[in-house]
Amino acid sequence: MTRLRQLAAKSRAWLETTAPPEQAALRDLGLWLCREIVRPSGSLPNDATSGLTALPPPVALPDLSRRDLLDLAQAIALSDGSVWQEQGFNSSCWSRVLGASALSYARSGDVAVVAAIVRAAARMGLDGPWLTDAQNHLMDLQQPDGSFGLLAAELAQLNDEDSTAEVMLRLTVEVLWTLAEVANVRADRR
Amino acid sequence: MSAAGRSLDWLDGHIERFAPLRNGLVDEFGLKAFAEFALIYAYLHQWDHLPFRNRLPKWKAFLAAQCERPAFVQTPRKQPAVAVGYLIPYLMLRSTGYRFAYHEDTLGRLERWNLLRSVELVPYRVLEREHAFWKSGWLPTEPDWRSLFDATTLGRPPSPLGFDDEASYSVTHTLFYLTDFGNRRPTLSASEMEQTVDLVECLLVHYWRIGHWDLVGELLVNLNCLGRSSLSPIRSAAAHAYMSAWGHDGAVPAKRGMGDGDGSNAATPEDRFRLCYHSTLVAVLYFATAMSAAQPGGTEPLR
Repeated sequence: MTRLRQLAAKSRAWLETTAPPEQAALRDLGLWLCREIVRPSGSLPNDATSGLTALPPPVALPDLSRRDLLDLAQAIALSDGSVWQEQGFNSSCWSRVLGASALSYARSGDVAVVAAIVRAAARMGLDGPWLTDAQNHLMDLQQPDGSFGLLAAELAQLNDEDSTAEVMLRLTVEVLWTLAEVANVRADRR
Repeated sequence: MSAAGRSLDWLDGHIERFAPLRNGLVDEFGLKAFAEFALIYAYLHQWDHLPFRNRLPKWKAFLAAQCERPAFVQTPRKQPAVAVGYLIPYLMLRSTGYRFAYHEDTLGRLERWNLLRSVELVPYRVLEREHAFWKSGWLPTEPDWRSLFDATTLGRPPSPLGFDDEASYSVTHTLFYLTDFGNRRPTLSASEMEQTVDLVECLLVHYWRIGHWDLVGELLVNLNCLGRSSLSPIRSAAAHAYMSAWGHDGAVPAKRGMGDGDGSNAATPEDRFRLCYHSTLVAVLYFATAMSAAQPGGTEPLR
C-alpha cells in the first residue's frame, strides 16, 4: 500500500497545480480517487443496473475489438458483482485471460485499455502473476510530475496546450480509478 | 479434405518456389525457405505419420535435386565464413540418411579450418546450429542442451511485458530445439516447465489477439512439443481461432489481413507464396506434432 499512497500523493499534487480549470469536474474526480487510494472507503461506483447481465466465456476476449473489450471492462467495473458470483465462474481462467490481455495491450502501448482491464479484474476480485505485472506496469507509468502515461512524443504532435492538458488529465484519472479499485480490494482482504 | 491435407496440397503445388537458386544464384529468401522446407521434411520423415507419408518421396526428390545443383553445392566453399548457413538444408537431409560426397567434403574442410562455429550468433541461433550438427549426425554426441538453453532469453525470462516479436521467435525456436520438436523431454525442472508453459500461453493470447498467425502456430507447436496432454482453455480456444485463419486453399497467412482467403487478392502468386509459405509449413508442423503428442508415450523419444 505504501507505493500506492506515494503515487496518490504525487498525483494529487499534479492535479491541484496543473490540471486546467475548465476540466474542474474531472480534476475533482481525480482528487477524490487519490483519497480513495490513500483511505479506501468502499464507495467506488457500484451499479446493479450497469447493463451487465451475463459474462462471455473468458476465451472470447482475444477476439473482441478494442471497443467491445473496453465496453465489457467498463460494465464489469461498474457492476455489483452478482453476475460473477454465480456458480460456475472460472476465476482462474478469467484471471489468466484478463492478465494476458492487459499485458498484450501494454505491449501495444494502449494504457487506457490496460487500465480498464486491470480495473475490471480488481472488481472481480481476481489476482495472478500477469495481473500483478499489469498493475505494476500502470504504476511504473507515473511521471515525475505525478501524471500518468508516456505521451510526450504524441502530444508534441498535437501542438495544442489545452488538448494536451485534457488528454493527460483523462489518462491520469483512468489510471487513478484503476489504482483506487486495487486499493479497495486490498483493503477488503485485510 | 482436412485442413492439413489442403496445406500439404498447397505446399506440393508451390514446391518449385522453395528452390534456393534464383537466376542461377543462391538467393537469401530462397535459401531460408529451402532450409525450412528441408527441416519440415526431415521431421515428417522421422515421424512417418500416415497422412504425410505419400507426400515425402516427391519432397525428397526435390530437396536432393536442389542440394546437388552445382551452383548450390559450390556456394559454401565460395563463402566459407558463412558456409554453415548454406549447409543447413543439407544437414537436415543428412539426418534422414541422405549423403552427398561434395557436401561431406565441404563439412570436413570447414571443420579443419575451424569454420563450423566462426560466425557469432545470438544464443538461440547457437542452439539452432548445434541442433543441426547433432540432428544431422555430424556431432557424435549430444550437445549440452541445458547450458545452451541457459544462455537464451527463455533461460532467464523477463516479464511477458518485455517480449517483442524477435524475443517471441527466440522462445519458440529455443523450445523447438530443446525438445527436438517433441522427441525429447526438455531438461527443465517442474517449476521451470510450469513457468515456460505459462509464458507460452501468455504470448499466445497476445499473438492471437493481434492475429499474428505465424507466431500463434509456433507457440501451439511448442505446447504440443512440451507434452501437455490436457488442453488448457486458452490453448484450446487459440487452436480453434488458428484453424479459422486457414485459407480455403490450405495456405495460412502470416498475419491477419495478409493473403487471407483464397489468395485472389495477392498481387502475384510469388507474393502470396512469400506471405504464406512459412506459416503454412508451421501449420503442417502443428498437425504433425499434435499427432506425435497423441501417440502412446507422448514426448518420449521416438527415435
